[in-house]
Amino acid sequence: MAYARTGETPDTVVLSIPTEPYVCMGYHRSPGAEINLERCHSAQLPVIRRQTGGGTVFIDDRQLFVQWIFHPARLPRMVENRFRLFCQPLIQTYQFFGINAFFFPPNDVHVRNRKIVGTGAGAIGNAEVVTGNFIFDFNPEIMAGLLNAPSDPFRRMALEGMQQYMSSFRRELKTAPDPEAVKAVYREKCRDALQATLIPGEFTPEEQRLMAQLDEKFATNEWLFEHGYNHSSLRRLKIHANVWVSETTVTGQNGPLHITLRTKGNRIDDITFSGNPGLQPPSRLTGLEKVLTNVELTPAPLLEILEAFFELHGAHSPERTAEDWVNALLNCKA
Amino acid sequence: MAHEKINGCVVIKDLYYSVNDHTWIRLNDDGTVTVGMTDVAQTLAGPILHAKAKNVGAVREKGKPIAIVESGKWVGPIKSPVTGEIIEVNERVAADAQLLNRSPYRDGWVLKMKPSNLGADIADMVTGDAAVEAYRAKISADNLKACTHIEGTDEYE
Repeated sequence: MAYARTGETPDTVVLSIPTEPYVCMGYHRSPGAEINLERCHSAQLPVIRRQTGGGTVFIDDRQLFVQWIFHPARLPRMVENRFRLFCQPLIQTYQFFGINAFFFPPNDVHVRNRKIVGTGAGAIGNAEVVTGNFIFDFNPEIMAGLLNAPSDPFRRMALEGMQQYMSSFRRELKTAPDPEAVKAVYREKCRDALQATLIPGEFTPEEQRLMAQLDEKFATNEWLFEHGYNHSSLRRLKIHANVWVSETTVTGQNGPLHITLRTKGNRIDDITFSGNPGLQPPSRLTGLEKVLTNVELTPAPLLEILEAFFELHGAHSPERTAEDWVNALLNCKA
Repeated sequence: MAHEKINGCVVIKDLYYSVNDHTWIRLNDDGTVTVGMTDVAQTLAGPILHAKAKNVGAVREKGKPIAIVESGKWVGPIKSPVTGEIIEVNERVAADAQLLNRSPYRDGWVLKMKPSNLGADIADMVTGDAAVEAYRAKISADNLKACTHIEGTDEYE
């Protein structure tokens, strides 16, 4: 529809529910970098690269997609303001159903510290496009299972991160409303936000022709692998704007030390050391992970905690000074 | 560089601008042009995470995409201000896309082209004081209150 847009084409709002599940990657992502293509293939899940940005998501019929396909001049020029406008009717619709959703800059909608709308945008053809979704229900196990995770701790933290920091109608209300009722409320809120009349429409013949042509293009390996195939495992995963999972490996004489972190803002939300941390006695490792949880990821507090822990528990790491541990932790976050 | 600031947005006077597409070109002595995106463009996009230019050797018409950038969750093209062949791509931008934000007129140039019809293409562009006035009008029409600059942005005093 964006490609078919002409000067006469009205701004268009599309509401759609996928009929089949699939995995959808952001425009600049490479297959293999975030998801395990073999697992997708085994699960008979098509992998699609979209024309808008963001990460890789699992999509199924428990999500209602909203797409705005607008003349560029009729949306705010600043991307953040565009998302703010786009999210307004989504938020009001959630609120209508009793969910206290709010805008979380730059482009998320949150409820109780959890993300409940994913958004994306792009300049496509002659249009500016903004997309988002209502999440009726969400299964983090499926998404975590498809990740090209570098380690078990990474997959666990990703899964727990999604369980903890993602939400849905069902999670908030214990039940999911009828999608048709959500559509009806959304249309009202959208009309108010845009101060425009919404008129039901059909695809034009030109839009249908282009859709068929683009369907073919987007199904090709040339499109999917346009940015190459990335064989390396995932090292950073965004759960939402404020929550990330990351992993780094530090080489050592007796073997590598793997650090897996989940951060919330600038604090450690969860941490695991694996491989050969070289901490003596090794039994202190769990305690070290525990004391680092909730610590701010900046040099001074990290150093203070590490030095205090080593002194208090008689722990030491022959290969690494406390400063080395701090640098490794900061490097993992970066 | 002779320049002017409009609502904090830098306009370099000796560049040629395609104001609607927020791109600039610099005329090089060897007949090639260096192409980049403007301070206003990097502000509208926000911090850029990825930038992928078309390959060297590709011939692009004026107005067609020569690169795709992604900022946050927005993806959009940088449109070619001239028709011609891409002869060099700035690999530093490919490695560090936020160079487009920090240094839109210096280190963050996007690519170089060998134009095939520069005389006609440049006739649609503005430079010098005309560029400043065109941007003043554009910034006012778009209601852009101020350009935003991330840490490490080039200074213009």
